[in-house]
Order: sequence, then C-alpha cells, then structure tokens
Amino acid sequence: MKHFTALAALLALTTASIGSESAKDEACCPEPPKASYLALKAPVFAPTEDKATVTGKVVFDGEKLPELKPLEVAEAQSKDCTTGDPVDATNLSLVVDKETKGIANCVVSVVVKDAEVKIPEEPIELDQAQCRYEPHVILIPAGSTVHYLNSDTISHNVHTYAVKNQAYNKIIPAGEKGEQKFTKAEAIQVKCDIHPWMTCYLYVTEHPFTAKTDAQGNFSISGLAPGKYNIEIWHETLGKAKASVTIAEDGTSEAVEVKMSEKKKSGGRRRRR
Amino acid sequence: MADRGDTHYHVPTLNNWFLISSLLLLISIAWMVIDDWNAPWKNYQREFRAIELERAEAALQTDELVAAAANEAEIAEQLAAAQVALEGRADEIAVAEEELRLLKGEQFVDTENAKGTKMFYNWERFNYDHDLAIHGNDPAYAEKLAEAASAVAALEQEMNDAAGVKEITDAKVTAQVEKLAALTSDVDVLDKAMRAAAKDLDLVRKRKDSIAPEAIDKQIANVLRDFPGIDFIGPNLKVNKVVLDDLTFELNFTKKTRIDMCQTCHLAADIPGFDDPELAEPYRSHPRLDLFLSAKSPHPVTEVGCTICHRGSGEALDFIRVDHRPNATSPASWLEDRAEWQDDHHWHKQHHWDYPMLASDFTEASCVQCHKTSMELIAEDAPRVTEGYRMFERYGCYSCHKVEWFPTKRKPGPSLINVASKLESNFMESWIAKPRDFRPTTWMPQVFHLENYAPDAVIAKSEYGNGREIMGQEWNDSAVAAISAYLMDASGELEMDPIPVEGDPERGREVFRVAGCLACHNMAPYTGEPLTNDPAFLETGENEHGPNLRGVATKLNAEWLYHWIKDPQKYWSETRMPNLRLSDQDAADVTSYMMEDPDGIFTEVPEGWEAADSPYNMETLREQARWFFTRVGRESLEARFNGEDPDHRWDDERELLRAVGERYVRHQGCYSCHEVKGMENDMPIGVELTTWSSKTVDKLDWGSMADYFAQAHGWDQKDRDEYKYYREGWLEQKLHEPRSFDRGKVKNPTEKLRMPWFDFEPEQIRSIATFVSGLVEDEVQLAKMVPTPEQTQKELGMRAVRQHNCAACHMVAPGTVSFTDDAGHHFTVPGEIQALGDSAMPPHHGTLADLQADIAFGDDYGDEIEEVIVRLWDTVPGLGMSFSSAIMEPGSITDVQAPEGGDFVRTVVDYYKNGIEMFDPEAESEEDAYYPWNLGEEGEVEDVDGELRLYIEEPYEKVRWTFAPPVLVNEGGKIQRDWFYEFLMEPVPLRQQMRVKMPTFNFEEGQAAAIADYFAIRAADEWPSQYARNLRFSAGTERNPEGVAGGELEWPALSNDITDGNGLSLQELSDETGISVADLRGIEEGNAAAIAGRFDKLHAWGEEQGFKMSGAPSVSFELTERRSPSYLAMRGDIPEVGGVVAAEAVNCFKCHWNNGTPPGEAAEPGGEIIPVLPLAWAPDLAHTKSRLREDWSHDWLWNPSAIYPGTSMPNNFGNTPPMYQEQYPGSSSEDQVQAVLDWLYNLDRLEASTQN
Repeated sequence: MKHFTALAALLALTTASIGSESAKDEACCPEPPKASYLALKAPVFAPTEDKATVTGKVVFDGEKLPELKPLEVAEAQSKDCTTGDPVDATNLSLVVDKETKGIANCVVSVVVKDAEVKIPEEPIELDQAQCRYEPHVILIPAGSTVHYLNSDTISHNVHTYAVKNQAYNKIIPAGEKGEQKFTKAEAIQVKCDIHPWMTCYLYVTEHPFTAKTDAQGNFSISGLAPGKYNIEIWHETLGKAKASVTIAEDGTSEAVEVKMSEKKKSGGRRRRR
Repeated sequence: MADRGDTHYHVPTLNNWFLISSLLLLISIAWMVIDDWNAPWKNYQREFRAIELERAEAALQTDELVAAAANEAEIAEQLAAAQVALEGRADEIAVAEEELRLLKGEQFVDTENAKGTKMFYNWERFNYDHDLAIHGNDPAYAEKLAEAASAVAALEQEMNDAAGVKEITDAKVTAQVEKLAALTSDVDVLDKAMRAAAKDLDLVRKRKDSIAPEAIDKQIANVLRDFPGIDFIGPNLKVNKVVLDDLTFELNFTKKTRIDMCQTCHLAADIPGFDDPELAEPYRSHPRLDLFLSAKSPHPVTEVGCTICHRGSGEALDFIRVDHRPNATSPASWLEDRAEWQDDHHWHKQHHWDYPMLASDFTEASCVQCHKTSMELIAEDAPRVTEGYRMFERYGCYSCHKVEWFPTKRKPGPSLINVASKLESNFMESWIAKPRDFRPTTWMPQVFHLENYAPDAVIAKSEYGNGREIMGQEWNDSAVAAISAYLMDASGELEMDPIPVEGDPERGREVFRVAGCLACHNMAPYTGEPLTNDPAFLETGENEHGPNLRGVATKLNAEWLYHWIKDPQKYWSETRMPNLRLSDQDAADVTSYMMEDPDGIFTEVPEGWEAADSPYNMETLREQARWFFTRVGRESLEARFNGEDPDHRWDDERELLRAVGERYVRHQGCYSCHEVKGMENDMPIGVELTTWSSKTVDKLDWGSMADYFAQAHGWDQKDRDEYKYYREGWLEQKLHEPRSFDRGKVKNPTEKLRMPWFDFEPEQIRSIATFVSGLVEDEVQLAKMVPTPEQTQKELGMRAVRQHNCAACHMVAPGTVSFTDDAGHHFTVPGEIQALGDSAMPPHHGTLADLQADIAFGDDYGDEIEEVIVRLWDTVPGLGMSFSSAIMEPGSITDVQAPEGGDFVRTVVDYYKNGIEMFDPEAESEEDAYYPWNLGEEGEVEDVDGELRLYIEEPYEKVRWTFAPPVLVNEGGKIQRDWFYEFLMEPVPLRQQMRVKMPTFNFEEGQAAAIADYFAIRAADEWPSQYARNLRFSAGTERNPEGVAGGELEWPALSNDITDGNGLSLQELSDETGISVADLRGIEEGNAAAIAGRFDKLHAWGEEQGFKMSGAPSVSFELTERRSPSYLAMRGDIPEVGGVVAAEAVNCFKCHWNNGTPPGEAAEPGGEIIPVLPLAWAPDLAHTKSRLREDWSHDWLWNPSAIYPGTSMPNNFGNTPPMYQEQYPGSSSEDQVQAVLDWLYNLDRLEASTQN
C-alpha cells in the first residue's frame, strides 16, 4: 500500500481491492476531496472565486446488477505471485455497489475551457503487487511521467495498448522499475502478457478537474468558479457518458447524478446500412 | 530545222508537245517536291518544334530561371569589371610571364642535369654491386672495389646536389605560376561562377536556340536546310528510326528486321514531361516512361522499339499505312468510336498488313510474348493481361484449349472418379444443365441449353430423316440424363468409414469459424445484400478461392463431407483444398453444423430451384446414338436398338443412356476439366491457342455475325468489312455468346459449336481477350527476357502463393495510408489506421471505404469519429519508425489501401472479441434482432485445452497476435529458408494456442521450395530500401541533441533510445553523400535500378557514420554460426550465462513452449507441468536453432515492437542502464542479447548437458 498512500493524499480514491476490510473502512467515510490534484493554472480563475465544489454520483442503470465471474488465474503461476495465498481474482472491470448501485472506478471530468493541468512534481506510480495492478484505474495529467514498479519477486512486463501515446512493452524484473511519459489524452489498457489476468487502465487527461468515483460511485471535484460546465464520464467497460452542472454565484450546485448502462452486446461491430 | 515535208511528224507541233510535256514534267517535279516538303510527318515535326519553342520560352519565364538570369547578369557585370582591371595589369602580367618563361628554361636545364647525374650514379652503382657480388671474397680485388666504392659515393654526392638545385628551381617556378594566377584569379573565379549560374539556363537557351536561332546566318541556314528540293542533304526535319536487328517479323515467308519510325511523329514519346492534358497525340510522352522507352527502363526504345508491343507497321510514315487503330471493339459503339478518326484522318483499315496495331485497351497483350515465364512478376504493371491470364487459369480455359507453355496443368474441376459417393443423380442433372442456377458464382460453364440448340429449334429429323422432328429442349434434356447415367454408373465407391463420433452443430459453428474454412470460402447470399455484417457473407476476393458454400448440404451427404474435410485428397488427388488436420471431433462437429444447418445457410437453395432428374425419351436417345455411332452402320445400330445385339442391349433404357452418355462426355470434353475413369489421356477438345493470335484475321470464321451486327447497328458493307478485321471483336463475341457463330447455319448435331458459356462480365471478357490476343508465334522468343534463377523461383513462388491462397490467412505486405499534413505535404506510408470514436476499443479499418462508412454511421448515431490514428508498419524518415503513430483528423486521410492478405485475421479476431453477428427474424424490433453469438453463453470461446474463456475485454492487438494467423511481412528475413521449406511440406505445431492450424497443402512439385525461395528473395530485395530508410531516419535523429538518449547508431538497438526525431531530408542526405535525390528516393522505394547503381555508395557512407543494421538475408543456405564448435569454444561459458539470464531474469519459458512442453510449472519438482493460460502462450523455442535467422533473432530481441507492431513479446533488453547485472555482472544489453542468443541456438545441447 505504500505507493497507494502517496496518491491517496492527492486523490479521492477508493482502493482497487473493493470488498477487502480496509476498502470498506475507507468506503464508509470517504475523505472529502480537497481539490483535484490536477490543479488549475492561473489566471483563468481568480483564487478567491474558485471555491465551489461539484459533487455527484455515477449509478448503474439496469435492473439486474452485473455479475462478474472472477478472473481466471493460472494455478501454475499463482504460487509464484504470492507467498502462498492464491492471487486475488476479483474482477474489477465493472464494480457496482449492491445497495446504492454506484459504479466505482469511473473517471469524471468537469470540462473547464482553457484550464491547464498541472504536472505533479513527483512521478505517478503504478505498482505490480501480488500479480495485480495497484491501483486499477490511475489518473495521469497529460505530460506527466509514470513509474511502473514491481514489488513482486518475479518479472512482469508492462504492455500498454496505447494508440495516441507511444506504446510500451518492456519487462520489469522484480524490484526494478520502468518509466514512461504520457503526453496525449486517452484511456490506455495495460496488460501483463505473462500473467494474462492482470489488467488496469491509465487514464491520461488534459482536464484539471478530474476525479475517480469511490466504491459507492461518488465523486467530488473542488476549486471551480460559478458557471455552467459540461461533465464527461468514462468507464472501462461501460464507455462514455455526458452530463452538465451549473454552479450558482454563491458556489452551490445540485448534486449530479449520471446513469450508465451496459452497452448492448451488438458485437461491438458497427452496422453499416 | 525546217520542215521538209517528208516526215510523218510535224516539227512545230512536236515542239509544242515537247513544250507541254516538259512543262508537265516540271510541274509534276515541283508538285512532288512540294508534296514531299508538305508530308504529314514533317508538319507534325514543325508543329512539335513550335510546341517545344513555346515550352522553352515559358520555362525561361519561371521564377527559378528568371532569378538565375538575374544572377547571371550580375555576375557578368562583375566579370566585365574584373576584365577591365585585368587589362590595367597587362604590363605587370607581361613581366611576370617573361620571368616565368626564363625560370622554366632554368628548370629544364636543372632537371636534365639531375637526370644525368642520377643515370651515371645508377650505372656505376650497378657495376660496383656486380663486382662486389662476384669478387667480394677475392682479396685481389679489394683495392679495386674500394676505389669503385669511393667513386660511387662521389657520384651520389653529385646526384644529390643536382637534385637539390632542381628542387629550388621547381619551387621558384611554382611560386611564379601562383603569382601569375593571383593576377588573373578574380576573372577565373567569376568565370567559373558564371558557368555554374547559367547551367540550367543554358540548357533551355540552347534548346531554344537550336529551334529558333537568333543569329541571322543560322536562321538562313535553317531555312536552306529544310528548303523544298534540297532538304535531302541535311534537314532539320528528318525521319527518326530505330533498327532492331534481333527483332524480326514474318513478311512473305522471310524474317525481316524490324525498323520502327514511330518517333518521326511521336517526337516526345521518350521525353518526360509532355503530359499536360491539353497536349494531343502525337506530342505526348509515353505514359510509363519508368517501364518503357527511357534508357534506364527495362524496355529501352533502342532495344525493343515500338511495334513489338503496339504492332502496326513500323516503317510507314503515314497515319493510315501505319495501321493505327481506333480503340473500339464493341459492335454497339463501333461507328461512333471511329467516326472521329474518319473525320480527322480519313481513317480506314489498312488491308495489306497482317499485324494491325492493337487497340490501346489491348496493348498489354504484347507482354505475353516475352513474359511467359514471368507473368506473376509483371502482374502489378500489367493488370489487364494479368487478370486475363488468371481467369484463363481459374476458369480452366487451358484444359480444353492447349497453350503449350501454360504453367498450370492440373484438371481444374473436381474428380468424377467416385462421384456417386458424393452426389445424387438429380442434383448432378440440374447442375450439368444449368450450373449457375444453383451457384451463381461457379466457374463451371454451361454446356447445354445454349442458342445453337434452342429449345424450339429442330435439331434432327429422326430415323434418317423419316421420323419425327426432335426439338432442342428434349435433345438437351436427354443428353444431360445420359451424361449423368454414364458418370454415375462408371463411378467407383469411395471407401468411407462411418463417422466415429457424434457431431455437435453448435460447436461446429465455432470450429467452422476459427479453423480456417472461411479463409477460402464464403457464404454470400444468392441474391441481394446479406442481412448481417458477418464478413463470411461478403465476397472479398480472398474468400472466393473455394466455392461459395451456400446450399452445399443439399447436394452432399454427411459421410462424404466428413471424409472430405478430414482428407480432401482422398477424393480428389489434385484438389487445392488443404488438409487442416482436424481432429475427428472437430471434423464431425463441422459436418453436423453444415448438414443440420441451424443457420439456414447450407440447406438454402435459390428460389425456385430444385434438384430434379432431367427428363429424357428413348426416341431422342436413339437419334443421338445414330449421330454418334455412324461407324457402326445402320443395320447394326438398329439391331442394337431392337435388343438383337447381346453386347449392346440398347433396348434397355439404362444401357442406351450410358452408351450415349459416354459419347457425350467425350464429345463435350467433360474429361478435359474433370477426372473421368478411362479418359485420363484423351486429348482436349478445344482449338490449340499457343499461337492462335498469329493466325491472320481473315481466317477467322465470323459466320453471319458481321452481317448480324451490320443489320443490328445499321452498318454498310464497308463498316462490316472493316469490323471483321478486329480479332479482338471476334474474341469478345466468342466469349460473350460462344455459339453465336452458328447463327444462320445448318449443321449436323455433332458438328455444332461446343464452346460453353461462362457468363463473363464485359470487363472480364476484355481481359481474357487481351490475354488470348497475346498468344502469338514467338518473334522475340526469350532473347529479351531471360529470367535469372532468382526471377524464376520468385515467379514460381508467387504463383504458388496465389494458387494456394496463402494471403487469405497471412498478411504478406502492410497496407498503405495516404494523408496530407498540416503543412499541406502529401504522404503515402506503409501502415494502418484506427478511428477513435466513443467506442472503448476501436475497430481496425482496412480501407478508406470502411472508415467513411464508420464516419457516416457515427454521424447518424451520435458517435462521432474525431480522430484517426495512423500507425506505421515501417520506418518512414520524416515521420517515425515502425510502430510510431500519428493522430490526425479524418478529413486529412486521402486514401487507405488494405494490407495485402490477412482477411481471415479479422474474421478470427472479430469472433474472439465480438462473436458472430446473428439475425433473429422473429425478433420484435430490428434492434433486438441482431445479437452476437459465441460458443460460450457470455461470449466465451473454446481454447485448445477445451476450456471456455472470455476474450471480449482483451485488447484487439492482444487477440490478433495470439490467436490469428501470423503475418508474413519480411518472412524471408526472419525464417531460415530450409526450415521454411520443411515446414511447408510438413507443418509442425509452433503456436499451440491457435485454433486455426497451418494446413498441409497439396503442393505441386517444386512449389514448396519456390515459396520458401520467393520469401527469401523478396526479403533480400527489400533489405537495401529498409537499410536506406532506417539510415536516413537514424542519422537525422542522432544529430538531434534530444533525439537519441544513447549514442550508438545500431539498428534496431538504437530504436529503443529514440525519443524524438524525424531523420534527415533527402536533400540533406544527398548533400552529404553526393547521391542524387532521385536516386536516394529510388533506393528507398526499392527501385532495382537505383539500388544496383547507388546502394553501395550509400552503404559505405552509412558504415562511415557508424550506422549498423544486421545483414541482408541470403537466398542460399545460411550457416547458423552460433552452433559451430569454433564459435562455442570461443564463447566459453557465455551460453550458460545466457541461459541463466533467460531462465531466471527474462523467464522465457513463462510464455514460450519448449520442445512440446507448454509454458508453466510443476506443482512439485519433477511433477507434471501445469500450463499457464493459452492467452500467454508463445511459439516453441526448440525450433529456433533451425527456424530463425540469427540476424533476425538479434533484432527481434532488441525491439520486438519495431518488427511486429503490437506483438505481446516485451522488450526485454532495451533498458538504460542495462538490467540483469546479478545474473551477468558487468554486461551491456548487447552482451546479454548475444548470450541469450548463444543459449537459444544451442538449447538442445545445453539442456542435454544439464540433464547429464
């Protein structure tokens, strides 16, 4: 968790391992997000005016909650990855809270024109631990550098299926690290070809007001000035959604609720007629 | 003389007659001279000179030359000033010159002196040495020798002194020359500058001056040179001809040398640049100067001339005598097409010439005469004749019409030896009668029910003219029934065991999809558009290699199908259908999927079609027998009909059917295309076409077709006669309506035309007619095109690749993307595109049409495509290296060409990612009607281990590189040729995770070797251009301070360190290397001439810069150096260290198979290996030593993504600083790569030694 804490200070995050004890603790009392760590560049908004916070929730639209099969972990590899426990096979590709129907790990961006992201001074870290990625979805301001860590005792390869950024496919031996700079906004799937169940997403964004939903699907983005904004929502399997919000002069706004539903399995192929 | 009155003539009258006739003679001479002066070709030349003059004047007005002229004027001014200054120094120069003259005299004396003393010295020295050698030990000579020695020493001193004097004088002369040069130097420098500045200008000026000189004397001379009557001496206007000694043609039974004078009028034919649209013939450049006429092209005009390709009369100088041809063959447009020619040129057919010019649409016909052994090699440049050639092969024309050199010999239709095991007679009869009614795309032609056997026409009057009239309909019906009866009764039985396992149609649907069937077969609907977007329902070219499978379950039986799938050659020894080596279960599942047909594809027949027996009657059959068996004699025949001949009981229906059927099979030549028992060696029935087009046109039998056209299109007698001179028109009519030449003729039933009907499209007809027009008696023979052994193998290999449809599964060359960048530059690059819309994982786009369809779809459904990613498949200097990508707007993409081959890759990946798109006709709404199907309910696909797994969320690339057939781009650079050959002959399991297997092909002799050679040759051919592009890219990148992190210029190690870079421009590289931009571009584009000429120089420059790229593949056998004992001895324990790096750090066997053992681990040491998931599997490394080229493996380990963009193989060695120091202390990345390679190539030995 050591790499995670570095991020948690900056981000309103839920842990990737939803369902574990610690995750529940955090999920019950999410730390109120201070400001997006993707800070805003002056002078678009005067510091005295940028106090408003937009909060909201991404919920699953559909009667039947998705039931995901656990990931298939090769038995032969499992014992390499951990010190005896089986590899955590929780499938994180769509995590919906049973009670609130909130969707975790959505990325929500309030689109502020001309706002520029601030590149964090410290590199962002993606860890490979116990043959899982940590965290599952990671926000990356465009222009920043990501360090790929490997806290396991075996090698992994980090294979980013990027199309706009330079694709990357290098081996990271145990304890070593790789690094890569991302300059263009896109959601990038990451895979380990050696351990095919390992996957996560790098979300490279140019929007400073971006946050990730917690286990209940809640998000909160601060530092905004009054006005009307468009909101973009992304989820790795549900795709994209749009919403908007109006912040009144006194800085208040109505909570945003975004519904996302499973795409019809039309084979993903586009019909051409 | 006075008239004496005693002559019969009257002198004054005679004088008058003399006067008149001399005047007439004078006039006619003047007329002749003027007529000659005014010959059309001279007028063309005058006109062309005017055009050239205009162009030269226009050229002088271009910005470039105007600037050059200004520059020149400026320099001229300076030069004049310098010359004035020079004159001022005249005295000084004269003094200096005098000094130099005196010094040179001195120099002469000193030089001679030096030479003289040296000569004396040499002579004395020789004498001394000689004496010393002979008398050296003789004390009596000691004194003499000592004297001689001192004399030599004195001479040596003298010589050295003289040389010293000479040196001083030389220096003086040099100084004086320099002094003199300095006095005139400014003039010399300016003179040089002047010449450089006016270089381009002078060319244009000279050209202009030669056409329209400014000097008055030249003008007068020009007028005189071309003056009527004296213009035979040295005219400007003259006949241009090429004499082609070794190209002959037949003229009245003799071989005559070709002399082509075409360029007398076609003056710009071999000059580039005359291609403005407004320029008309004969003033245009040849459209393909890269291929023809120019000196650098493979067909220089001085060697091949014009008429060898275009035909026509090369020695004629008149539009009509040359036998020009309007481009018309279609009778419908014939009058219209030549009307313009008649108006402009009073065109009519030149009757007395046997080699009419080819209409321009047919010019490619001429390629055949030289390129018989290289038809595949010219395919790209001669698309029309290539299509004709390939159709000639596909439709089996060669099997009835012999073409001696035609390379394909096998029978194109399926074997009928055991046909009874496959078909029922009712299907066979419906099929024979009208094959296209059942399968519109079949290449089996229709033989019966054609116009010369029209249903309502009387074919014969039975019983020798005494019986009833037999009509076409019953004649045909009975013939079909007879053929079927004969084939069925003559057929053997195929040995077929019962299907050993029960088939599961649902699983069969998946096997059918992923095992490879759809690579060659499609299931396009009989008519109209398919309901879904399933590519299996589209005809894409690659999937039309085998027949469309729609409806096949109605004609086949399950047992036959099962055995056919298991082993196609068992039924038909020459089939191209490969053996997929399916398991019993897989084959049974596919069989039950097709026979039970849950999808309504294989049991669907065309509307209104029904398999039905052909009706026949005994009377017609007897009549047919009477025509076929005339030799038997009437009495015997009738005896047979009456049952009186015990050997021929033709009173029995079946026996009579069989007897007539056998004759029909022979008569129609069924055996030419199909194997029929007992007729294996019969001669084909068609006219031999080997030299058919050398037959003069007047020998073509038009029947009454020309009259028919004349009537139909309103031609007069002359039009009709002229049209009959069109061989192409005859050919096209023959292919269009093969029996039409029987129109209006009375013929016996056995004499009627038999050419079947193929239902070709007009374009197809034109292509075949083009090919056939090229089948001429060999004038050129192989004199001009003797293929090298490489070319021969390449040709064979390309043909084999095409005939076995390798490109259906394997991408053999990347596609290209054309786009315009922000600065307006246009690029065409090897690569592929992906459109980025809202969809999580974008589909790949093969062509621009795909992209546009998706953009249109996106616009309709609010899923806007905002960006397109162009991903490079090779290094493009100026853009990036392989696998880099650029983002652009959809609008800037101007063209996308699909990769060559690999349609099936998309079929497989689509299935893993999206399933099969199905249509439920009973759904409530259209939206609900479409649903995806996979074998697993959640979209899972069965893996080779029998488990169902989900791949929907996997990246497209991952699925593509794991489960779809591998790409063969640069395969020859990757694979050792011998292994490739072995693999083609007997495939071994390599990529075990794939459901689709490399099939066992039914290669003809030599084909497997040719394929292996072809890929090797191709890789060797492409290497120089790869080298050039990588060099230019790297050289520029290296100079960019931020470009390369390291400093090495080694490819592809370098590619790991490139962070940014565009490469040098062609101009920059040209400046550095001294190779022209055109040549550099030629090398990069793979132009053979440019590579042959300049590549060595570029390569040398690259070496000088320190650029290294591993070696070009060799076509011959390559030694695997790493396995040689001397190499291993030198390497010591490094291979073992490589093994440690590979096993402990890189973990190769986490993914790679090893000699049949899957990647994985044993639960306890020594226990059974539990494999990892198939998604992680990679090729078997045990084959590496014999399979992969060492150079390729080296590059691959350095940067896999640069070789296969998107591959799962990670970059294991590219980190800075180098990793794996624990396993291999102090090593560089290159050391590690070398060590791992040592280990890989000796895997078998090292493993054996560890086991011991």
